[in-house]
Amino acid sequence: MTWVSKRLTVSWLVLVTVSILSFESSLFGSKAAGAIVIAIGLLKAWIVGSEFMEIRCAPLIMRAIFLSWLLIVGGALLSVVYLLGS
Amino acid sequence: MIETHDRTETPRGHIPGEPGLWVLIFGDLLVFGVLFVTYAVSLVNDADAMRLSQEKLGRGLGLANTILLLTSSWFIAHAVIAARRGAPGVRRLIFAAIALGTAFVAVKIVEWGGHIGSGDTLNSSSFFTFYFMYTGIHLLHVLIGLGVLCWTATQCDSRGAWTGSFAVLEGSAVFWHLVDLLWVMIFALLYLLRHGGAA
Amino acid sequence: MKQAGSRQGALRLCVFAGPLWGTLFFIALWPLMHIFPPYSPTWSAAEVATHVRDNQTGFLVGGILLMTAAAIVWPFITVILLFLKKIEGRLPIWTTVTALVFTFGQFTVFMCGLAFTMAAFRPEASNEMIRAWSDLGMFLLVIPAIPGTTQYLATGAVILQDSRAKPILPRWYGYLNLWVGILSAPGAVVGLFKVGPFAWNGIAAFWIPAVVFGVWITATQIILLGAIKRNALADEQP
Repeated sequence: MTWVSKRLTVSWLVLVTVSILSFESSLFGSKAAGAIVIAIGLLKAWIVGSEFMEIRCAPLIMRAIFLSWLLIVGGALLSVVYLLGS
Repeated sequence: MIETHDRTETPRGHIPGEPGLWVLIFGDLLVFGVLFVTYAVSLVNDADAMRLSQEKLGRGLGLANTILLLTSSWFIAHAVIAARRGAPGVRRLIFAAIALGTAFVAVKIVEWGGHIGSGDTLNSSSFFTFYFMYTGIHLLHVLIGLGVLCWTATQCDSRGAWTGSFAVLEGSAVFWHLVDLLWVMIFALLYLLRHGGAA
Repeated sequence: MKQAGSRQGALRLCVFAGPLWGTLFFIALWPLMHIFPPYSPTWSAAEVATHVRDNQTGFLVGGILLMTAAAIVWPFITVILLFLKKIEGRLPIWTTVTALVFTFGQFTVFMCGLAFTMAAFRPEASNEMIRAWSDLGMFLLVIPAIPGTTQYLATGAVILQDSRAKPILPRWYGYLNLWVGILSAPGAVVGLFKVGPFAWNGIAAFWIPAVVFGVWITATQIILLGAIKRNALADEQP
């Protein structure tokens, strides 16, 4: 397999690494830990979308929709955790 | 060197699969976005009860499944690259992705079996309703994705080189990556995100 | 096609059975029965019975509208099926599946109207009896998601197998059907829950399917009218 994509492999490594790193940090239960878990989830979603799904090369409108999805979902999740939580 | 090749193969402005497919992809993302926020609201409003159930989850199995799907995505992305180069071995890469996806399903069945065996079912608590429903809807996506991948595997010649249309392979890969993307979010929110409590 | 013009008029007229169906449905649920949004599955028998008695005429007329809706939607469905059959050609397997499941799905709409009629027909009946019939109506309102999944996936499969250079129906609409089909499936579980997102008044079992269905029926009208304008039924592509 001489045609292994370095870019995809690096993406994969980053994804696996942050998955493992976010694993233990989740247990603290503080709002900051929650925010980190959400941010890492969205970061992973972004990498999967732009690198694996190749949205990074797609037309502007698709990149815009994907980025808005990440920002809106991320914003909503963080506000729920920070504002609604007692 | 490999990099430059990739770039020429996916020029700027290229729509992976075909434009219509993205109605399904973005539509699914939209609905899951709503489901994720719904879950977060419950998690925060009902923190103590949710935590009690959430602590029963096997986070290790969730992590294992995350790595299985990420790796499966890596394989199918390489199947697309190999197909673009007209290389043989596309089918082998698709089979690897299918095998990892099947392993995901197997882990899920073991996980569900464990919870159901210890009395936590679809209806036993608010958290387990979310857990079984969200992972269930996701599992439906996994099964559809596996079906699509099996169908793409039939479109290779005897050397395993791709003979079908590129849009079909790319589109199938995009759907499979969507399954991965959704799982990454489910893993973060259901398995890892805790609210309030001991700390 | 000499008669193309007049046939196009007839087809267009048929498409408007769709919005008419939707309008009747909505009038029945919202201003007449006041069950849009649906009442909570946790309501006691007395609460449900009071709601039904207070809106007795609304329930009875709404029941008629629902049953009428199930009866007048067929021209709309027929136009969809004509285009699907055009795509599939001589062995219209999935068109037939779509047709059969459509029939089954509209049967639940008809029964839904009948169940709400039963709930309101004898206001002096016991609270439990009234709630039982009303609950059946609520189930019949949301449970068509089960046959619906098959129908949408079959429709999507037909549209996406169209190999013509210029497809009879747009491919994005095929993917839209798959989307609606996949997201209808969770509606199957409403019987399990009385609270939460998957109860019959919940976000995942009611609001998402309701919005998704609204998108579907709107998109369907648009693409059908577009295909009629292109005279796609007379398309001669191989």
